[in-house]
Amino acid sequence: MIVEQIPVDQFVAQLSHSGIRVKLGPVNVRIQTKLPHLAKQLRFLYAYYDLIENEIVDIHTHILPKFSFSNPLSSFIRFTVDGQSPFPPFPADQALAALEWGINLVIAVRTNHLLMFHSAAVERNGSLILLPAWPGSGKTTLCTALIHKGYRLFSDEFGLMDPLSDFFTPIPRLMPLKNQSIQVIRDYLPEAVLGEEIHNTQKGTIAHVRPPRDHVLKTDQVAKAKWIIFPKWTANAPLKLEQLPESEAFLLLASNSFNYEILGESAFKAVTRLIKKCQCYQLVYSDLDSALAMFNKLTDEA
Amino acid sequence: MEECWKTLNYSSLIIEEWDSEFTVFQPDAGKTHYLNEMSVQILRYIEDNSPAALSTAHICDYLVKKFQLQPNATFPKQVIKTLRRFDELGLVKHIS
Repeated sequence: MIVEQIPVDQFVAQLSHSGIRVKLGPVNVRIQTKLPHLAKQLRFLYAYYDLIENEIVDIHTHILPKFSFSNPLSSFIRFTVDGQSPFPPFPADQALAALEWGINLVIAVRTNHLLMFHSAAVERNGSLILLPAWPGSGKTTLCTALIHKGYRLFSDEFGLMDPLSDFFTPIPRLMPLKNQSIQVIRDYLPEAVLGEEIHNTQKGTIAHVRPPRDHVLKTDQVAKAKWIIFPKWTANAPLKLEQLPESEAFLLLASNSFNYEILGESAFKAVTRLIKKCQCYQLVYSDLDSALAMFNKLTDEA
Repeated sequence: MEECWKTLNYSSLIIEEWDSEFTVFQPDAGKTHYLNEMSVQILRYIEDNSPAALSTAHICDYLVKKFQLQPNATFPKQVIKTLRRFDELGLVKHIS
């Protein structure tokens, strides 16, 4: 059963009592909150996620109201995971952003059975494109465009590689567009489904893209990477795709991983295999049409 | 007395070559090092001559021949700097 199949009243009641348990790719998360506004957002944006019943939950999250004596008229919330609060309180209208950041933080810290890259990942024709990038590179915007133009979403944030089999596992989470990217995507992809805008967060204004239904329902379909492309959005820059020397690609990819040092030798060997099997490029782009044409050409030729 | 050098647990290193550049995984430290060809040759040459310890001058002579370099005053200083860095990383051991 998926979230949208349970009646709204039941969803809200479950969320506020024992919490809902959802499958986010390889991670099972319990979310508990009594905030009606957050419940409404989750019901809409998490519509296609599988609800789990008898599986072990990996991450127990809770969004709680937080009363402030110093600021009694303002409304704040607290994100907790397994009873611990890793962040200071957030304004209540930022509850969804806090929840998403919190879940991402816990996934990044705890998922050490997989080699984890800070990367978007999409699949076409059975092969994966890894898009490792640092914040501000425009990877979420690019990833949103790709998944609405024939590419399957694995993640806009985590490239999860099994260091034994080299398969990547999908974890199609909400994709937080930031600031000007929100309007860029509204204009470019009117069909994209976005949540409401959340203003004044630590990253500015955020609106989450809901991953398309088919992509969420295919989270068990793994793939191997064929291309590693380091994207960088630069205003007014002509599209430039340059092959990267393997040593440089290794350095960039290893330093981009969240848990390379934790996994040690198996990570070294996995990154070595990955670089040897993939075509590695650096991409500079400013417009989505030309970037998409380049991606299509690259993946058609394969 | 001149400094001499021996490798430390060289056989455990995993060395991958990428067009004359190298990634070296050091399991003892859990670290990956990015080395150029000359740095790797330094390690290999010391290891090839183990269990004997090699002097800095001996290593420099070998590198000058191997890479067909013109000897100059700064080269031994660069080699010593590399060896001391390797010593800090636990890749070689300094023997007085």
